[in-house]
Amino acid sequence: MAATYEPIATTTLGSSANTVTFSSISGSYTDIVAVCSVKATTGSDEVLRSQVNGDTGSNYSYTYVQGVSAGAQSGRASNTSLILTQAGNLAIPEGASTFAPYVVQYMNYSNTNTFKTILSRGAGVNQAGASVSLWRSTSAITSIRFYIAAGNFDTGSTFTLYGIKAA
Amino acid sequence: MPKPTKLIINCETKEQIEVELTDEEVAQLEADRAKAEADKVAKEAADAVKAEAKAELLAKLGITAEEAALLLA
Amino acid sequence: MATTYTLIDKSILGSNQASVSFTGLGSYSSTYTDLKLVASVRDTSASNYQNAKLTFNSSTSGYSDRAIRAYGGSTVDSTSGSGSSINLFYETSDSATANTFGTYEIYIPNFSSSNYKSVSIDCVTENNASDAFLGLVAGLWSNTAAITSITVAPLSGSANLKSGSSFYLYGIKNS
Repeated sequence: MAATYEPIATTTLGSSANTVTFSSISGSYTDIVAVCSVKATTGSDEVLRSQVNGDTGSNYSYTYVQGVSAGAQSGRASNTSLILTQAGNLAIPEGASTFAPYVVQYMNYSNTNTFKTILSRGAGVNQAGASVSLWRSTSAITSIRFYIAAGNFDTGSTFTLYGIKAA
Repeated sequence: MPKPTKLIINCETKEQIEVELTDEEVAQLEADRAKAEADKVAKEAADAVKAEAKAELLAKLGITAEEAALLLA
Repeated sequence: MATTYTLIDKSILGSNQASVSFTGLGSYSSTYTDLKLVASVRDTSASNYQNAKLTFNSSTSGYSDRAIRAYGGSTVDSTSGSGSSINLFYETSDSATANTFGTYEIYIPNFSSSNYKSVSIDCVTENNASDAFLGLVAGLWSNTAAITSITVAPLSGSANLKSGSSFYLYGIKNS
């Protein structure tokens, strides 16, 4: 039976790192799903961000909804330089043993006729939310970068890419 | 102080390499962080203004937030 | 190539049950990385929906959760809790439209790690009336033990999971 959902690559950080990039992603799947379980080094206080194909320009936009201690919130940004892979401005945890799960889906990532839509679910400590992002390019996604703007992902953080085939 | 590092995973070869960020990349991160903080502050200020206006209007109408939600349902 | 996304076990209730448990998960600790429970649920409570609860390893302590919720046709809020289970997700109950089951998906990454266990839950109930529920939940079990069993049940001890409810547990392997 042909495999529909295949692991592409995975890493567990043996030391802290600011950025994790998956490069040379095959175009043979329909969608890419990234499952991240992350925490940050102490004092990082930063959100989980993503970019694709090394594009650091203002070619992204996003809308998010989040539940936090202050209540239910939503927001959006246009012409921004990042994909929001979690909800809003929620910092990833820094606790000793607590890693937060994020599932990020890059829909039709290898389609060269459409801009790319990215759906994300984040479940941090005392925070939950979802976001949708847009990358305004018809290029196939061949690399995905996860990073935080200040501080590092801590040791033990895991990042895994899966490919999903529609047929 | 050591520079932050990036881990690059080649999905074809499964090779993983760790390299330091360039000066330009570090500068970009700092710019991103500053913008995110500024955006957060601006949003919090806008939300506070909205909340104050809402409270004033409810007081003017003499109703609670729950009663307002019921009216608009 | 080893299969990445595999059905470990399933249960389709032939009669009402107080809870459903998947046990013996310790034997999968080296086979799979993550677990995902997909459920289609209705319970016997006399309401449109009510809280479901999730526990691990029969433990009744160390849980906390946060949810963003949309319900009642116009309410959106965020709430949190802590205590003996993760329970801010919801299931359809017996006053909702007949033959209607709600859905929840529970994703558990790194279920056998020695870190605390964080979970992500999506849930929806449906009802052809003004009262239904949608929620996104972040849960945490502050325990470093590997997960060896998962139990779901209605939060109200007086309600049962209704016959016809289904539960599918998948293992996901990252390499």
